Amino acid sequence: MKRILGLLLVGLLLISLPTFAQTQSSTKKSPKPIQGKVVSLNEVATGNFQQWTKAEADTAVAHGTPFVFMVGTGSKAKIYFVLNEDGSFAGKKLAKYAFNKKVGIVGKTKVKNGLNFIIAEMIEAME
Amino acid sequence: MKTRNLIFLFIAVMFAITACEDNDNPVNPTDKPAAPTNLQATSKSNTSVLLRWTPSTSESNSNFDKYVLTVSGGVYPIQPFNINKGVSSVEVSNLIEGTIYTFAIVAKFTDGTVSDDTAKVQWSPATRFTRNQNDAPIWIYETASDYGSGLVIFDPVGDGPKSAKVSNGGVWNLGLDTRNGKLILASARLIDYNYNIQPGVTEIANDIYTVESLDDVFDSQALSSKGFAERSIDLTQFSSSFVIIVRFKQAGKTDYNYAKVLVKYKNGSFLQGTSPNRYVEFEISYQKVTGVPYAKVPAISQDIKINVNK
Repeated sequence: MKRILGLLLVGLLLISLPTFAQTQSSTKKSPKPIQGKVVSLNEVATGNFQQWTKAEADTAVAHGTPFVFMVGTGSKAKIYFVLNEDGSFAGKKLAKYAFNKKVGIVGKTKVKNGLNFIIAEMIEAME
Repeated sequence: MKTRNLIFLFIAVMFAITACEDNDNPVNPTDKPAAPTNLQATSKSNTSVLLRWTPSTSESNSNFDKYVLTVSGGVYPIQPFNINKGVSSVEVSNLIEGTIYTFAIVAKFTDGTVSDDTAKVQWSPATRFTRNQNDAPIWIYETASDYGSGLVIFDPVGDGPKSAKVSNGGVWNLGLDTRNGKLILASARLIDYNYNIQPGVTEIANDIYTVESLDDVFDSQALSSKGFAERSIDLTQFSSSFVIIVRFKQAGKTDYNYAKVLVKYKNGSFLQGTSPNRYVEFEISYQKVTGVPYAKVPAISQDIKINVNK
């Protein structure tokens, strides 16, 4: 019985260690804000970017438009999905910054299934 | 005959009782209640004003009935409000920001006699900001942070306060300087940051109120009556939250806009968070109408709702 339990524990460790290692290796934290601009996913898809007003962004997010964080411009631009610290999608919070020309996010970055994520600790306009 | 005697007896007894009451508690027609004093106001929001006063010394008189508050200054007549004895503060709502209302309170006896004097104050509601234009707390950051160390009290584009970086110094009102162990909050021009564009003049009144809330700073005179100058405040000299009154001219304006700024002290410090993004938090009461130091020129009004004892 003890032997079976021991084998089970070893098995569990073998399964969980790579996952943990993978999470650790792909997560980076910096006290320096990652700087970029808040854009809608629709804009990313079409390539047509607009200057949002507060009211327009509020309306868009109320209609379900997802907002993401774009670092860099053109073909080198990197798109981040921003998450709250509890893991929920922070698109609604991000939309409040859509009218700002530059936004800085402090948090951990993570790549999963080819998608970029930021687990945001602080979001602030940087103008 | 017996019935008639009884009626006479009843009338006689009633007369005696009435006469006794008059003699026990005489009302001299020349007696008048003392007026409440020290009426003060503060803006709770862009539609409401808080009033407080020192109660009438006649409240202990058994003939004291109530206070009557009149609100004037708008184009529409406003019915006076009755306020119960024992109440010494009210919130008057449904007002319009930038309109200077005259609030006047008299004391009244049960026989309708009112105090000779009237406690008066003129005030206007002003917008209260507890969040910045991004609907986040109003923070400005230590010098070492990549986030802004400057506070813009009101940005018309974003319709609220915001932080701003040194590279955008031209829009700063107040600035935070944490270089070399300092902890200074100052009129932006007094901080020797390497601004691209010099900030405009933001003046701070000489009175500093050590309070925990903007609701605790009452005045009886227009804010313009205070002594204003560009000032620097050493936050290390304070160990509690405080309120300063500031004024500045928005771009293109020739007159001042006024604001009250609460600087928050929490958990034994003004600086919150972790280095290098430590921040100071604020709440702001801002009069959006230029040239209105919370009390000056009357304009318009509408129906009034009053919430007694709020």
